[in-house]
Amino acid sequence: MTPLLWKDYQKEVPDNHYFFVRSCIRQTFFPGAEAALLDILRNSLGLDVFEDRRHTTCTGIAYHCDLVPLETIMTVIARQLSLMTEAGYRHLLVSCVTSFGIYLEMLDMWQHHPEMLEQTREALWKSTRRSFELPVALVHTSDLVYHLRKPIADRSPHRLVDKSTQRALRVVDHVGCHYAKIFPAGGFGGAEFPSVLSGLAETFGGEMVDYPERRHCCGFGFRHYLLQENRGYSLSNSRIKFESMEAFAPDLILTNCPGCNMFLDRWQYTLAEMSGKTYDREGKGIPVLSHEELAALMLGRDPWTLGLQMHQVQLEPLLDKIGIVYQARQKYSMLAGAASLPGEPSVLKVSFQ
Amino acid sequence: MNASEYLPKDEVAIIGGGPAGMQTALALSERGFSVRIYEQKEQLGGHLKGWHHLFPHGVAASDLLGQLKEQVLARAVPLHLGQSVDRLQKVGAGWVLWQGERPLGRAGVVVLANGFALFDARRKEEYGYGLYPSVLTAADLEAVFRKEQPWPFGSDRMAPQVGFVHCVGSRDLKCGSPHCSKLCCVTAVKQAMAVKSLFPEAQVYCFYMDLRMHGLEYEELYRKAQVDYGVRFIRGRLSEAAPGQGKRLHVKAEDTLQGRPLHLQLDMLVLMSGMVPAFLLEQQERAVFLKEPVFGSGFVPVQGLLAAGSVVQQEGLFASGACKGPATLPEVFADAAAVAREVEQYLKSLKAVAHA
Amino acid sequence: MPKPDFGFAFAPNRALDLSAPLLPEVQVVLETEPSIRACMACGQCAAVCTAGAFTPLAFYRLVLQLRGGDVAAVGERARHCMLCGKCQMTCPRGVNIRNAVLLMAALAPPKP
Repeated sequence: MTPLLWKDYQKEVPDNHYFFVRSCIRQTFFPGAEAALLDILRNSLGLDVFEDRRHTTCTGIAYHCDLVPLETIMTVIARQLSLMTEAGYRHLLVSCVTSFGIYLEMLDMWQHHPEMLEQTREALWKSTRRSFELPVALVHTSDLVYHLRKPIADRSPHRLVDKSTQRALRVVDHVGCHYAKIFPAGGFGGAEFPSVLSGLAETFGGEMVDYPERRHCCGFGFRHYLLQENRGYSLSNSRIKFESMEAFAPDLILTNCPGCNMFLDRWQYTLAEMSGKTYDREGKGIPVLSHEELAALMLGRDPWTLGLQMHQVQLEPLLDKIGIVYQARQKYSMLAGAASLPGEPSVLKVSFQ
Repeated sequence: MNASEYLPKDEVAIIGGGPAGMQTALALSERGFSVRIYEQKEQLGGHLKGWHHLFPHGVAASDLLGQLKEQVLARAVPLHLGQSVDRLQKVGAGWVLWQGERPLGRAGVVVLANGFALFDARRKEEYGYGLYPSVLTAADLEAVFRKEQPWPFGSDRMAPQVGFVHCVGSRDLKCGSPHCSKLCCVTAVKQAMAVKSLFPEAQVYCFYMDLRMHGLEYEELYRKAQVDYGVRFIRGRLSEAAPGQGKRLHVKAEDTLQGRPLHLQLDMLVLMSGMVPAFLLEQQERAVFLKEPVFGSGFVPVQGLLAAGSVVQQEGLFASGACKGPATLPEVFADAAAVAREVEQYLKSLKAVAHA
Repeated sequence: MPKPDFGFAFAPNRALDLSAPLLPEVQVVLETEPSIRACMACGQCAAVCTAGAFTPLAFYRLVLQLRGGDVAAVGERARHCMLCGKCQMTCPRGVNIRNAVLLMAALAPPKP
């Protein structure tokens, strides 16, 4: 019998012509990331990636919190697809892992319940006079970056190697739960052996570290995070991951989900405040980057244009290891002029020069 | 070839030279029938070749295999080694055996005794077999006992931590294996005791869902493992294995009796890979194909109530041993005798018709 | 800078760590009464238990918790035992429960 093995699983990713939808969390908390991705795809690799400013939130977070009913989210998704259809595209490129999971889920439901698809078409028509086609390919941005990892690495002046010692940097990955745990066939390597981030890190010369709690949820949850009283639940889950990866002394946490990127970054500070503990050896925290932030850095994009000053765990130690030259003084020079320096916490050291 | 040309009523072809095939051949030969064995490997023995010692008494597997082979040789049963039958063609009341386009032989009766396959443990991806060197299957561990492969931990480890996972690819609908392989429980207990004998300081854990100690003296073995060997039994299926510190594995499970998740570091994890069909029997009019199993393939279906050997819908085709489903050696031997009796009755009934 | 009040806190991981070596006092109990090893957690001891009707005493659970190193809880719960002996009478594996419970009860700090 030919066994079905997810670790050998490869996903079909079209080479070009994408309709791009953004992530609420990514563009809010990591505002340079999506701009950098579009810049790489369009300008470095010459791809056709189209974006329609009329697209909205997918309402995924509210859906998972039971605030938005199924019929509503289906109609919202249908509207996004109608924008794609109107623009003449059939390949959907999704920035957010929650959204990616939502698109997969809606398409799966429509496949198994064609009557729901008909109801959605009707609801969209009645409310907006719009119609839509289903996408031919549903691609997460990390899929595309993984798919294009070789051309990106070929253009890259940097490698994930400590420049002074030539040691490969140790990378732990955290793949968003909704990337492949719900629909394993939707992602590279499925749920158990996700290769979408590890393959990227290895292409750049990094050393992947498999650690016991690699598949544990970052703790984002949905309703579990929204109320302040519940956030300890989210924090506790992130803590399990940090405790597990600490022994492997990672240089970098690599994510593909905006929520994971956010929590694995911010909770390091919160935990440091609460318990005094940081999970690196120098008290500076473990840097966290998403796939497109990593690709942009490797391609030599300016860290501050990329928005890395918006991260809680400061990136300078990592930039120094890789040998990326940056203007320390430019860190808080925003488009609108110089920003005042943020407060300096007593834990999770930061360096202002 | 037409029907009148050939009808060797008394000749029985046995497909498979493992314990089931050999024992069925012996039982038929003793009854005076002419039998021959077709074995796809170059040697007799089947899975028994890979075992070190046998539950429940620890008899050396090579001793039993040696005895079986000796008897087969003593009765001068013709052996067709390295011949893999993949098709049976009905000619008259008998069969022609084919390997691809090559006819291998003819027989009045064919007995399928080609056993089972071991579940491919790589399919339980969460356990990392084939990925982490310290994850073994039960068959691998027998090879370690037989000194055919090394221990997966350094010789400096005097007190290795070892885990056994029961029901890997058994009782698992998602793997297409709904059945219980039934001898993994006692095999795990046997192997756990063997590890403790070799490494008295070892800490050995068995992760089980429920212990199915069905055979004679199996339950006693379980108690002995607990009391005399200090093997710890934890009720809960392992959820995943991942690299731990050093060269160790980090495994997670639920202790369902305590209602608490647990984790521990192991030097060796042994997966009790279950028994799955070795082939898929595809029946056509006057032909039977032995094909690669597909997801959810069952074992060979037989008709009748108890210990039946007659393959459903096929006159003159019988099945013996573990190709009908998981079976222990004593069960296989008992089955071989029962099948031989059925074959004898069938051949007698043909003669009765011919004489009438 | 004063410590911020987040309004929430993290919870400890409740998973048992089986790799942690057995506590010496647990080892003493297991070695002094080796029949404890024979327990297969069938629960018959708990089903007949006089104290179990009113308290969280269940001998088979004490065995599991003892190995898990939860010494304080084991000692505390073992003290609910009324030493009626029904469990020992009924245990199919012949565990010397009376002695085991007395050893376990001694694990709790003495009451003032």
